[in-house]
Amino acid sequence: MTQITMGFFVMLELLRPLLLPGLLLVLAALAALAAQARLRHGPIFACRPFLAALALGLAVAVAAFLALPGWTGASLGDLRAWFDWAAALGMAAQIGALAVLLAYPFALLLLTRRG
Amino acid sequence: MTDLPLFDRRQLLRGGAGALALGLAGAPAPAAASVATDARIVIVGAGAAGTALANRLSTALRGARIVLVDGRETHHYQPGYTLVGTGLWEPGKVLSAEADHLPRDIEWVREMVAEYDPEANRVVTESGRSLDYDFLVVATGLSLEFERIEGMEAGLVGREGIGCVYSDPAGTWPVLRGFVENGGVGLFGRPAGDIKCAGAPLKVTFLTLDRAVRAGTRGRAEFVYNADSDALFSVPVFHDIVERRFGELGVAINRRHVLTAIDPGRREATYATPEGPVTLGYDFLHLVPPMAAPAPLRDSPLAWQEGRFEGWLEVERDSLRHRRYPNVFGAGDVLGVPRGKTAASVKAQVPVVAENLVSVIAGREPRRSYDGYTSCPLITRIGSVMLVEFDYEGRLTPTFPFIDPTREGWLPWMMKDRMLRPAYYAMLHGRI
Repeated sequence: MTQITMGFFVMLELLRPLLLPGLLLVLAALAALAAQARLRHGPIFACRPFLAALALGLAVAVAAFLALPGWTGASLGDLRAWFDWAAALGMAAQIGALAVLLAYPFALLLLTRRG
Repeated sequence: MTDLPLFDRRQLLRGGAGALALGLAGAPAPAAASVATDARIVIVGAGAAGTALANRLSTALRGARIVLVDGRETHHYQPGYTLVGTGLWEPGKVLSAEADHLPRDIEWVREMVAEYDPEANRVVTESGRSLDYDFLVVATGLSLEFERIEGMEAGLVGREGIGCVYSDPAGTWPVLRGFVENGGVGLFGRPAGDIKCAGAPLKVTFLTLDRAVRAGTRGRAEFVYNADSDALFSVPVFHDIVERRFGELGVAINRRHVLTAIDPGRREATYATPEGPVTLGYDFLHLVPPMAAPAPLRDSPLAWQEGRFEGWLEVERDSLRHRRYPNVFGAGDVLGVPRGKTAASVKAQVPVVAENLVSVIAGREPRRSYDGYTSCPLITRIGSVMLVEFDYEGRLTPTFPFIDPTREGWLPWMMKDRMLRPAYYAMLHGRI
């Protein structure tokens, strides 16, 4: 079994309590995208909503980075080795990227006009 | 409708829904083609090894009659005991219902085995029920032998300043917290002989000390570590690191001190030393009892009858197949092998045992080999761990090459606190 496969199943166990709410959030985002495309006949790609989602994602990433050590009962001061920083920054970046992906469809609805 | 570039929308939705359903349903990972057999396999013990093997063999063998024998209804995530015993985790976090981890197509005999009769290919339960087998897997774990310490019994844990994360982590935390708050003399250490998670006595020492530092009571507490030998850790590089850290933190080290008796009323512990018995007073004693294979196994023909591993399950150290009874395999803490009494060892052993057993059932010789992989996330304080991994020869075998195993870090702590429990359950269900 490759490390990637192993990592997938470990993440699946770790995130199991969040799978259903996560699914609902993804469905809501897809519904927003569909609504934008089919009901409002608006653009799927637009700069302003993307920048808004990006700004939100950056904020989420910063918050995640600051919160991650505390999530494990530790503190920022416990990040000492280079792999500590790399791991915390990497995880925060992934959380921020996810926030961008989920926020973008809603930003499209809010920040563009009907087509 | 705007088409999604590069993907067929229907395929993407189907694949995503399938993966999500798989995750939500908790289905095991897809297995290689299974082997058809009507073999009757008895697995003794529903701990980490037994439960993981039940799941793996259920998938790998089509038609096999698998019987799991264990009287315990609750499954314990033992790697979490140190965190519960030092107040970092709630007790409920290490408990789950055994039934939630078992495949539906096995028979679960809710009793303990009282007798092994490998000549007749059967085991006998406490109620006298005889279970015949074609193949036997022994995964009983081990027994905590408190009675080998004069004056000690398991019920004393959580009272009279005595803690033991191995037997009662929830009961240990209040007495440990009392020591942290009030100070005094804290005695720590480990017994002679093989024990499971040999790093736990060190982890408890480090965490208790860190608790005292954070509480501002370190100046009122004296820490003494009583090592059973000259070594604090079996791998020399980590012995050096621990010895240095103990020195930096002001932990006194007594070598070749083996606990032989306690007087709970007077709070005194007596140790056998090369110079004769030594009695030490304590306010807190983290007592780690001697450990052995459970008595029915120990007293059976399946155990090593003599030598370094006398009393433990006699298996080949690489194939984990019994040396004298070829239809018997073993996994977990019960093994009489040089290393491997950790949950991480079980994770390495289970695929070996499962595949080798399937090979034997299919008429082939075992091909997989266990290299003695052992892992001990050595907690040095809250938020900091050294990810110690090694094999039979004591060679370092890091899973993640970018993590220096001799360096404390937050990332290994995060793994210990957040990732290893999900990994354990994934292993339990046969997915990794």
